[in-house]
Amino acid sequence: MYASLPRFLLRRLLTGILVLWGAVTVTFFAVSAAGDQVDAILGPQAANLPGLRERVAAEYGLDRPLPVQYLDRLASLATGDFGRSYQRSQPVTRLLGSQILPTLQLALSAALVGLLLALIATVITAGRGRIVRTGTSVFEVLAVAVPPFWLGILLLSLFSFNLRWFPAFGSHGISGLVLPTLALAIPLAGVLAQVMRQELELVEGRPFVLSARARGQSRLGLLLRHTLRHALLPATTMSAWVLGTLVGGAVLVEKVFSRPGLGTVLVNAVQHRDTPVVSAVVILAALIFVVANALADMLYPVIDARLRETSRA
Amino acid sequence: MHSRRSFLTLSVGSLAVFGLGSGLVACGEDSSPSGTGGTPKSGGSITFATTAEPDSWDLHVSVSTLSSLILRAVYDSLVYQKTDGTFEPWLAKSWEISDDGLRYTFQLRDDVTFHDGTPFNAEAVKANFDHIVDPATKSRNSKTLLGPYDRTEVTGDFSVVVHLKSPHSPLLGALSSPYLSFHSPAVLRANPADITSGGKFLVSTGPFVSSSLTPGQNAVFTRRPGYRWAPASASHPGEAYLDQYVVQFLADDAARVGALTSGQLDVADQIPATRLAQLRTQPSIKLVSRETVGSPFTYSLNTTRAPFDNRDVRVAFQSAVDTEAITQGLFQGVYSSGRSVLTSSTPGYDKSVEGIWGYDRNRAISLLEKAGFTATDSEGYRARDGRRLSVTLAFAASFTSEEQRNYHTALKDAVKQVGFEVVLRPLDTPSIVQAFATGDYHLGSGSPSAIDGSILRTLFYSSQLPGVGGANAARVNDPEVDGWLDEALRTRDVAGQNVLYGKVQHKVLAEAYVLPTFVSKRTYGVQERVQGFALGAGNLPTLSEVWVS
Repeated sequence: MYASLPRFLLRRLLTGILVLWGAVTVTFFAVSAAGDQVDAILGPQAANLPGLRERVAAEYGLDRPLPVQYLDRLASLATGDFGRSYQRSQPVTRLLGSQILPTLQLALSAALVGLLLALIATVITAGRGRIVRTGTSVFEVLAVAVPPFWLGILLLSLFSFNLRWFPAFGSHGISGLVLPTLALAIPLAGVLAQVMRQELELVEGRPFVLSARARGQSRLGLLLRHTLRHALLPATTMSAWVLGTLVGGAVLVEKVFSRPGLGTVLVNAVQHRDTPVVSAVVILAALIFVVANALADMLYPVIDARLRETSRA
Repeated sequence: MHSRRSFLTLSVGSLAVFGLGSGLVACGEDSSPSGTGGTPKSGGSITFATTAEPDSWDLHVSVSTLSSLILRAVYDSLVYQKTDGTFEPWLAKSWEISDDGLRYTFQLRDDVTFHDGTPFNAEAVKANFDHIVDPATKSRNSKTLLGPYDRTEVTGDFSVVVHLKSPHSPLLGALSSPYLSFHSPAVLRANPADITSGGKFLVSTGPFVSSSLTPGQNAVFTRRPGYRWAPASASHPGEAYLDQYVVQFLADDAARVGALTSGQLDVADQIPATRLAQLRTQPSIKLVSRETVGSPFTYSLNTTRAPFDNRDVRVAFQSAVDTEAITQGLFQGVYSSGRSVLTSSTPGYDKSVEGIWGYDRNRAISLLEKAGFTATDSEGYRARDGRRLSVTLAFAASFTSEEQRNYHTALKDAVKQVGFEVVLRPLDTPSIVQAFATGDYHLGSGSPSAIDGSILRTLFYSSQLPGVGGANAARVNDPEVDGWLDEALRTRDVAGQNVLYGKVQHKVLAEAYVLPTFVSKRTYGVQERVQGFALGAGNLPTLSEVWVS
């Protein structure tokens, strides 16, 4: 694998750039098709004030032909310039800079907790009797079906409004992170547990497991050394889906828990039709997606020894 | 949802057309200061939740009610408007208006300083007004409030003359609003573009200092030591009681109410009407509310398009709707029915219009028959010359609240009873801008907030069409109405203005240019321990008078 790493990275980089370019292009033309940008900047109250339109159009370069605007946008993005927010009239990079960390924090802790919950559920229930499995299946389906924001309100009502264990808003360190993390992690765990248990049960039926057990290996030892690795594979494959869930869920969960973050910024920007910010968030999401996919591909050989063999071949 | 709430207009009236904005400014009958127990004491802090961060932290740029709500206690004004609509000195010790109404001379207090130590003086006033009218500021609301502003002349260290291009009697009211208050000249010089991002860049003269902002989360304001220039009628003239107040942005209604009832908040803004009954049963929560100042939620009948170019059809439409019954049915007594184009708590409201219009089904039917709508088509609607009696109601889909949509539906049902069809036309923002610019609609709706009767000019003056920044959605072109409104601009005493505003209210209702409906309220939920929480001019809480027990 290591021999081909540079080639692998180069390929990844090229497809990544292609995906990003696609995201930029689609966002740009979707936004211009959605209506006059000047209306968005001025809002309905001022959109018709005489003289203001022309000045604003000139200031934001919206009076130029669309292809020119598009090329200009590509050029400035290439230099890392995301433009200025219509609403806050400050650089988008500054606006988003302070919001990335809280979202990343939430998404990572939700991914970890979700994986942990799924692992626990998998290990406890795999290969058990019918009743246990039916019970957990029902649980998992419920967990998957529950929308994160609804779960968030439920958690808030119970653990904040009634029991008062956790704060209802704000980033009070760890205690402020618990409920939003759970709201995101539980639906995630539901899905991951299902696919992981399926894989685990499949693997535990393989001859190599039987022979290992016959040699005196405990189930726990087997789990840690061999079978869980197999179970992790489909979870890794789903990492793109997981990411999508986390980003989409974070938007809603951040609103319910009044947390700062990209979700809050995005909702706010969409409401005010602040297109430079919306585009930047879309591009950022695409970037995260590309990076995560690349990481997942690099993780396969680490988890699964067989893949190392084939990639060397 | 909160973007609908977070917009207001004072006289940039297109809002009336688009139905944005729940109102502000008020002095209602059902308000009572919260808490009466004990002697006020200094110290403590409160956490106050509102729905969102304002659109801009620069009051000169913002069009949101939220900025004035959050920053009223940070920014002082030249004059103070009392709840009866009259004015008293604040940062201006006295003022004089020239006979032609073109020059306003203000004598300023000489003992006022900004939070950064910069003295408040004539130059500071000039720098701020110049900042508002500077095209680079892109001010909308504040600039409109200044009216036909020409320039500010510094005539002494503490004396300024504001020159106008034409008489504009609403100027004093405008000067009492937070949107025409003052940034420190030092900030205006060094970081004018940063004011909009808030926090440390908000430097003014008020009883609280903006000390920090966590974007999207909260803003912290601390007591200004040495504050002693509150208006005379303030119940607490000196330094604020509270050490600080924290404004928390909680967009979710359920989260805001839940955080309040569980004691994690001291004050919650905009309690939804649906949660009021539940909160009334909670002994530890007090509810403080006031009716909108400005207009009720009002339908405008486009007088330039058939069939509403015919007065009989307009009066028939107005008479066909039992607004009292619909308001009662939809809002269960939480909101009242408006009887004029101004709400009853708006200075300038004319009570005598209450009897001149109202629900009268028989009158509606006979007027429609008189207008020739005698046939009935297959769906039961009236028709004339084979054409159905049908009108469209255009509204901005994303800025129309659930309550307003429900009213649209009730209206549609009500006029159907007399064979009148209303077609609801929800539009996106560019389309609604287009429709109102070109006059392609029969009905518009909205509830603009205001300070006083001067909003009538934005609503009914012939040149204030929605296409050019006004809110004359009925497209009224009535020389008599224009005459009264022009005279009101030249009339300096409030009583004289109100007589003229009364005439306008009579005429627009008698001519059925409009159909006023419900008057909404803004309700704050307040913890028992918070004392002295009251709503002043503009329905804004007077935070400097709040203390905690």
